This record gives sequence, C-alpha cells and structure tokens, in this order.
Amino acid sequence: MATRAATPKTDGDAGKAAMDVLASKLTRELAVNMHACVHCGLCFDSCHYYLATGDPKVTPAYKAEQLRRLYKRRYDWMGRLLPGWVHATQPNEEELDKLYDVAFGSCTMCRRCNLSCPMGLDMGLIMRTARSMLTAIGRVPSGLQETVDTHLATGNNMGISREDFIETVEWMEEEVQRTVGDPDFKIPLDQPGTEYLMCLNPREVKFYPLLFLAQFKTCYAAGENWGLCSTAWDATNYALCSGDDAACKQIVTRHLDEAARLGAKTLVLTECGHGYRVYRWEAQGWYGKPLPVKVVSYVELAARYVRDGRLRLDPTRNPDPVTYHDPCNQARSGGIVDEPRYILKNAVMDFREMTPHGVHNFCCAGGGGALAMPEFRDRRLEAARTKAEQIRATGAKIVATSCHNCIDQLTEVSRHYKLGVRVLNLCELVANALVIEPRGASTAQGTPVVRSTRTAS
Amino acid sequence: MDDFVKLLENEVQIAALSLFALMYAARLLWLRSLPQPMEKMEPKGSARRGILLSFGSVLMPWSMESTRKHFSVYVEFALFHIAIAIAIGATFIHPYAKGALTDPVVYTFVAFLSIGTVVGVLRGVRRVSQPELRALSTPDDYFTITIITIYFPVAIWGLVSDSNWGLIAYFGLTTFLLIYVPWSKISHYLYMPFTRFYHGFLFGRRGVTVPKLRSATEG
Repeated sequence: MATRAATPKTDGDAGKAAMDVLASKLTRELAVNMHACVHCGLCFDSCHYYLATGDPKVTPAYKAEQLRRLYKRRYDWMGRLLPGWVHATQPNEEELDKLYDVAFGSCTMCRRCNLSCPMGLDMGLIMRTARSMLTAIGRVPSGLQETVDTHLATGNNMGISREDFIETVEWMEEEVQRTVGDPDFKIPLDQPGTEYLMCLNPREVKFYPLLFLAQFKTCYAAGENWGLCSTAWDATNYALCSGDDAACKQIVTRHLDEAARLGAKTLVLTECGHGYRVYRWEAQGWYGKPLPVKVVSYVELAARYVRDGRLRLDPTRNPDPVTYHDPCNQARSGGIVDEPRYILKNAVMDFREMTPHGVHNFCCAGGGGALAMPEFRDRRLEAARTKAEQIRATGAKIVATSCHNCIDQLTEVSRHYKLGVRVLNLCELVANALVIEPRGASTAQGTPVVRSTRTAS
Repeated sequence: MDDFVKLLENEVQIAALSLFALMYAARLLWLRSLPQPMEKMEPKGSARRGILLSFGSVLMPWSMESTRKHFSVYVEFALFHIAIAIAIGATFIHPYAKGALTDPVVYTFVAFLSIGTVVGVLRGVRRVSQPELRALSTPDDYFTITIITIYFPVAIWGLVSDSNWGLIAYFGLTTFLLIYVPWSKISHYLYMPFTRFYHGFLFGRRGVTVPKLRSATEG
C-alpha cells in the first residue's frame, strides 16, 4: 500500500511541482474561476472566519487571491507581461506559506460564499485546488495526512482491524437484541445480495458504537434488508479535504468494488457530511465509470421510512427544544435540507430553526478536515463564534446534526462558548423516539441511546 | 481636424475593435481547449433550472444574501453598468446613427453618465478606504475604476460639446479601453457566463438552489 505522505520539497522544486499540479487540474471551470473575480467585496460577510475576526486577510476573495496570484503569473496575459500590475507572483517559499495558511487554516471549503458571489464563483473548487497543489509538495497538515495514510493502509481512517470491527458488531448485535427485546436479531455481515449496505464512521466503531446501534435500530424497526461489509465500511474519505485525488480514487474504488462484489444495491452513508458528498456526488469522477450501487444518506433513508409509515416515532420522548445544524457538505454541497427537518418534526416536540439555516447555514468551522489540523485549533474555535451565536439565539437545549465532524466541533464549541447544549446525531433522536414492536415479542420501548459523554456545559 | 475625428470614429475604432475581438477569440479558444468533465451522478434537482436561476439572480437582488444585505452596492452596480453600456453604445451611435442622438436621448445619456461618474467616485473611495478591499486590490483595480470613472465625463463632453476636442478625447479613450480591456479585470464579463453556468449546474443538479425532483419527504 502506498504511503501518501510526501516529503516537503525545497523552494524551486516545490514551486514547480505545485504549478505542475495546477496545470494538471486546470479545467475550464477552474480557469474561469481564476479570471472572473472583480474584487467587489460582496463575499466578505458570508464567511464565518471573516465575521468572527474582522481580519481583511480571511475574506473569501483574499484567500482565493493567494492562488490567483500564482495562476496569473503563468496563465494571465497581464500577469506574464506586468506581474506587479495584477499582483501576479512566482510560487516561492513565502507565497506557498501564504497559500498553506489560507487553504488549510482559514477556509473550510463550506461554499457559503459561492451563494453570495455575484459572479457565481466556486471558492470550494479554488481552495481544494490549492490544497491539492500543497499536498503534492508535502505541505499538508500532518494530522490530515496521517488520516489519509491510515485509510489507505488499513481500509479505514482509524486503523481498526477486521477482527476488532467484527467484535464490535457482535457486541452491538447483543445490544440491539437487548434493547428491542428480540433475541433473534442479527446484524447481517458480508451477506451477498444485501439491499442496503451501511457505511459507518470509524469514530462510531471505535468510540461511539451506540451511534450505529441507533442506526441499526432504525433499520430493524423499518424491517429493512440491510447489512455490513467487514472489508469496506468506512464512509469517510479525508483525501477530499487534503485534495489528494489519487488517494480519493484508491479509497473510493476499493469501497465500491467491495460493494459490487457483495451485490449490494444501495450504499447507505452514515451521518457523515463529506463522506456523503464523496459517494453521492463526486465518486464517479474518481471511479471512472458509473457506480455499481445507488448512494443514499441515512438521513434520506430515515425520512423515507417515516414518510412511508415504516417507523413509528413518539416525539414526546424528546421534549427538549432542538435546533438543527446543516452540515455544509450535506446541505450546500448535497441538497439534503428538507429530510432532517421532516424527521425532527416527527421525532421531537419543539424544533427551532437557526437564522439563517438550510443551504445558507453557517459552517461550524470544523469542516474541510479542520478537526484533523490541531495547529489551527485556536483559529477554528474563534471562527465558530458565528455558529455559537446562532445556536444561543435559538434557546435550544439540543443541537442535532448529521455529521461527525460537526458533532465533534459543536461539542467543543459548546464548551468553549459555554452554550450548555447537548450535541446529538439525528439518529440518536430518532432512536429515542422509536416505538418498536419486536417480532414475536410484546411491544418494547426504544431504549434511549443518548450519550452523556458529549454533554457540554 | 474633422478628418481626424472621422478617422478616429471609424477606422481607428474598427481596428481597435478587431484587436479586441481577436484577443477574446484567442481566450475563448484557449478555454475551449481545456478539459471539462461534468458531474454525471443521478441528479436530485434540475441543472437547467439551476442555470436559469443562476443567470437570473443577477436581476434578482433579493435572491442573494450579499445583495439583500448590501442593496445600495447592488444599485450602484446596476447604475454603473448602465452608464458603461451607454458610454460604449454611444460610440457606435455617434458615427453611424447620429440622427438618433436627439436632445432627449442625449440628456438621458448625460443623466446616466453623470450618475455613473458619482458611483465611480464612490466605488473608488470605497476601494481606497475599506481595509478589506485595500488588502485585495491590485494596481489594475485602482486604474480600472479611475479610468472608467474618467470615461463617463469624457463621454458627456464628447456627446454635448460642439468642439472636436470632446470627440477626440471620447473616441481616443474608447480606443485605449478597447485595447486595454482584454488585459484587465474589466474582461470579467467574458468569463461570467461560464461561472454562472457552472454555478447553476452544480447547485441546480444537486437540488440545492432549486426544488428537488424527488424529495424523500414527498410522495
């Protein structure tokens, strides 16, 4: 298995190598995005980094400009003739440092500014291109790179062995049997012809197994034909965040090939923002052919079950006020907006929206792999101020979301800004509200699976 | 003097326009040579509706948070670009359809060009005074706003003055701009149809900015 960590290149080599990556990634869309910014400033206050700090050097346009300066030196007529006139520059050490700082440290690629740009520019595309260039020359936060390396080496980003995975699944099987009162309940593992193949987040397997228990309970209650694959179950793909397309391709291909080998019909992505975006929208570019499976998020599936009456929910079991944080990769880059609201309106007593919300929701500042970059921790928490204020204004006691990065970030944000809210996955609220009638047994109440570990005061 | 004005209005303008068109053609051919893989996953929304909405949003300031919050900037944008269209349009009307430049038409043009001048000054002041814009601005940004802001009163001078000097300044500056524009940020309008297309395609297809074809919550 290839190790992805590149050795940082020296000045001249690094600049040339970075520009070679830019050339290899130069599509028509990227080129027009490089040329079309008029520096109008209308994107400024769409960015959570800028709103929290007021720093002129974290506005979306300024950040994108750090890549444009390099681009213009090679591709823009004026940039080649009179570089100083348009601030075009060579990719020297100082410029690459600046690019590193903005691409990894001051942007989560949340694409909120895209919706505010009068030209319709795609800042996510620009920043990911910058990350690709930097990763190729070894200038990538080590934590982020290690996550990708571990995924490539072991098949999941936390290096969980197949044996440990199976053991955890068996434990969860017993837990589900106990909580639903059905001793015959089995978690189908490596079953050929599985209709819905669940993908999990390694964090769930390693630290929060009760989370995927909640999802399994949903499938059980809905009477779904579902299962797991012991060799391809990690929904994440942090190479999306590091911009490493070769690693993206390797991870996606292995996963999809395994799903095809099992004859699965649909891949169900756990509550993982970037994982959903990767498999639902961007995988085909790396896979190189049509996907052998359909892709759906757990959120979409659960909403469908509720709509079809396959899940019975009792909202009185979730009486506290709940607000919902839209993960950027699911809402703005994925179109999942109505489904979580539909679920919550059926699963909780008091649902409150943040302002703004949906596709205009602010990023929690933990996206784009930010949680795997401890060197930018202070900045990440500072940038979350806007989100903290949004949450506080709702008066909610629970923040539900549908992405593990968001969960971890919001939990830390709640502690940092003393919000006193619990941060939960959507599936936890669904599991709490489930009214389960086990096969061959008397009616059982869904046992609450809300964890206390993420209660922040 | 009259012959010089005629030369400037006709042959020189045509030559400058040809160069302008040639440069844009080269740029478009270069863009065409670049690869453009398009997303092929099963759509949730409609790319076509997304693209229509994306282009339409230019005329719908209420549809974007930025233009809702900064409505005055949107109004400035609209007035500034109307003034630009008039200043450029009049360089075609003057030599080839002078009869159309009746007093009411000229006064209307002058009104918009005057407003454009004021807006240009406001935009220039903002670029200099706002730290966020200053951090971002290049000499091209400052030069562009200055030259366009000067272009408006020069256009007024050319349109209302009896002296040939007004026309020489107007058409001389137009010639300069035709040559300079493809090199500068003013050429953003060449790229805007592309960026708006890709924006609409992405967000429309994924069901972000347009209603989804099939929502999990609907029948």
